[in-house]
Amino acid sequence: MGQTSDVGHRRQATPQPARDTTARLCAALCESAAAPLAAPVRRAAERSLLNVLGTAIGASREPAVETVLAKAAAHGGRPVAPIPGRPERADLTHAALATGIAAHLDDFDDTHLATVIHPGAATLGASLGLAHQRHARGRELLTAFALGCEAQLRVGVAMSPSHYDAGWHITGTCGVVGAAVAAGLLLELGPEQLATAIGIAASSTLGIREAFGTMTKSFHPGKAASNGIQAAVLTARGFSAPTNILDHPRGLYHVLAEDYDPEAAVAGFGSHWELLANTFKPYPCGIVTHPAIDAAVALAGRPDYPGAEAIEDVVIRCHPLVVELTGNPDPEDGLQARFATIHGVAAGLLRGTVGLPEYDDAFVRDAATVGLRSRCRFEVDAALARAAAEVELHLAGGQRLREFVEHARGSLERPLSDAELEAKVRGLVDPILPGRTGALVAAVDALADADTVNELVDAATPEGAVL
Amino acid sequence: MTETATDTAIDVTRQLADFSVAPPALPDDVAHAGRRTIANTLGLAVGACDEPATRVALGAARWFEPPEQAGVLGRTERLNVEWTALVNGLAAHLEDFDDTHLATVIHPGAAVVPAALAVAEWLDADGQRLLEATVVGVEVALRVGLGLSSSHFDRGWHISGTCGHVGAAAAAGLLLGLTAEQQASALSLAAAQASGLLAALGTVTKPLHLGKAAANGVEAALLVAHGFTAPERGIEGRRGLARLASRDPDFTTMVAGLGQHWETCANAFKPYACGIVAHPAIDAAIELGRQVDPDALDVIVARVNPVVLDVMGVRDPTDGLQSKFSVYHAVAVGLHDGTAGPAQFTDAQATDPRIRALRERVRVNLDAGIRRDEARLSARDGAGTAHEIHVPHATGSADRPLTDAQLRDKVTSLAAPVLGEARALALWDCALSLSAAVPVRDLVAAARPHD
Repeated sequence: MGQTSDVGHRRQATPQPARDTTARLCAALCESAAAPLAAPVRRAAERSLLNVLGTAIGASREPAVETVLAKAAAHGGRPVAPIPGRPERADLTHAALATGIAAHLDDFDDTHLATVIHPGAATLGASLGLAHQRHARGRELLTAFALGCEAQLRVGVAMSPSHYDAGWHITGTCGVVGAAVAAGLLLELGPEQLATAIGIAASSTLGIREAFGTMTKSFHPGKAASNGIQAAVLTARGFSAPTNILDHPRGLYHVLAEDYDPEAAVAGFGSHWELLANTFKPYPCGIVTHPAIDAAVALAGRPDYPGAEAIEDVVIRCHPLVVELTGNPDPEDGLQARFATIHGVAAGLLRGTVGLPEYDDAFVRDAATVGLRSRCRFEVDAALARAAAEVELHLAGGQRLREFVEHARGSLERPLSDAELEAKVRGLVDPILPGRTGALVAAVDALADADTVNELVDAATPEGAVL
Repeated sequence: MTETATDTAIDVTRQLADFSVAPPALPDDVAHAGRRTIANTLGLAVGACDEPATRVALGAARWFEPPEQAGVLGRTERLNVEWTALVNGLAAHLEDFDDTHLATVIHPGAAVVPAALAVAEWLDADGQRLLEATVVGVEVALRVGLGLSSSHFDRGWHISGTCGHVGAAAAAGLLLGLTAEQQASALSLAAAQASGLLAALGTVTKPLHLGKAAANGVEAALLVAHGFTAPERGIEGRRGLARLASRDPDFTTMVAGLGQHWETCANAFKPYACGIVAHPAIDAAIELGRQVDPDALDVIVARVNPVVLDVMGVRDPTDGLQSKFSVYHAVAVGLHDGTAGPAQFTDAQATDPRIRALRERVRVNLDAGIRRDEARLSARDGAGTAHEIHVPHATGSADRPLTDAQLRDKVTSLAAPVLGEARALALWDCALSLSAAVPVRDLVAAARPHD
């Protein structure tokens, strides 16, 4: 095939099958899985796990999840696998689908900023039920989760940015690789078998950005989780696949990216961890809206803040890109509001906090919300960093209040503290499993030393759930 | 890629949905092509029902303990609709002996028929519904494939897997009675996961693409039936399948003349269980073997189109899978056995001393003046007599499609080792007479051993 003429500029002029980064990645993954995680990696994995359990529980009663479980009740296999936030169980692949969908549904999960991958959703879906069903030790689940995230982030880095820019939803396309790794490690596959599982999984990769704004967006990591389990189980039973799928001349990189760097998936494995660059959103909305929301929340918490009714005008100073991506001044519903900086600022000023309730359709359309939004305006300043913003309030008496945010909370430079992360998770978990946040945090913290994953499953599912 | 107003003006997904939930009455030739596609797929799936890959997939399926909703072909097991579609789709493509739409190189039957069959059996639908579902599924898969054009395949996509997803969803959606709006969602949900990498060639993951296409298409339609939502333009949208997986998508071709012009009628059936480019030479070899004892032949010279050695150039294959990519082996078995079914491409046959001796005497002369569906074979026997065979159009090519009798022989020879001669013939008869009077459950029963 004409691979030089039709695929633009490659960092690698010609594919070099001898490189075989798939085999090297799998060898490194199995080696890492055999040893305890280094302390910072373990902590990053625990925080990622807690965050994604929170988002999965928070969205566990949403229509997209109900739909999957109704279908599972009609067509699913023996219901052995738990689903965070749900009383019922499903077979492993349906539970993986439902869990992955819920985890990503509100766009409130983790983000690896360099790739825009949300690695937790597919990895949680592929690993929680399988670890429970296999009676895995807590450490095995945590390690499988960490390495499932790491593998997909590294494959994502190798294809970035051309892959996402072309229109692929990288959380699904790379998620299927991470899901196969997590499931494969829990099934104790060796390096060659793990490469086979990745071969099967990558050949069933999925995710198109056309799906943004529909349930199908979160279907991508959900189905990636399901496909990953299926690939690992097929491999364990003797199915075969190409074992060099990543940099094969007709493999994942070549077919799905104009430009790629296979070495990025393996370079420095074990010493450098992409997982450490995973971040957690404090607000359930587009990430470029966050600096201005931070400023609004800070203003609302000041002792001299007089309340929203005293505000005559709100000036939001930000980089032009913020307006380009999230400039909608008057969103009509919760989904639109997630991509409207002005709504986030108004919500922060009205409520002093910005969580899922601030993106309810009713709140978005409330007269007070609409009124305050109408008093907000942008002042773009190309000299400002994209991660920075300033909000200035013009009060009735002529007084002005101002807050400048250099880095938003939840950014790489200013990660959520453990307390902030716990507060976020509490906001997600409390409406579904009241009073359970403490147990969930404790179960995640104790997971590495736990003999089973049962405490974690108990904390993440309603009492009386069928075991 | 270029983006024009015309492109986005064509609502491909919706038009394919409108067509596939309410197809026009099928003309006789289209219905007949549909029945032949079903029969061919059933024969292949039955024939491969006990292959190692089929058994592994079945074992994986049973590990999840799915409910018994549809029957695995050639076997006694029953699984849920998706796993049944997966195992049957895998089996149907395992021998690379299934149907081929020559313009796109899509093998539509192995994705669409297992999806339609599993859902139709579960719903207890009649044979006419199965036939309609199969035809619309094949038609949608082929239309999307034509529109994705050669840049899709050239990039490294296994087009049978990608387009098979959309076709399988169309077939399942029709049977489930989706509205046109729902059907558009089902097609989009399938398009979002349309996959299959050509890196998998030579491994059983290649036929798994067809099984996954069948199962994912069924799942997409079922999820939408339960209320799942998907983009309106999963195929043609700015970030949809066609623009991501093709450099020059042709949306007009995907929808022009839907329901009037039927690509389904161009679906061809392989007479031989190996790469299609070797088929004219095999035709010639079989004819030559009828005229003369092949062991008496000195050098055998095949004049063929140059594409033959691109894909069928293995000189001395060491196992069955390799032998499927050897024109030398293919000519040898044609001469020696007078046929070239799955039994001619086994490990034993690839290493058989008589076959090896014969294929060592096969020479290939490439000739750009020979068409792809044409071959000339020349040889001299022990008495010095020259023999020359010319095949202008290979059996199974567009100009010389398999007759019903030839397809019957193919299907029954595949199914007979599993079902016995009499039941294999009955299976063919049942598939070729599919109508509203034939319950799909009877067809499935005909393709399975008696309990």
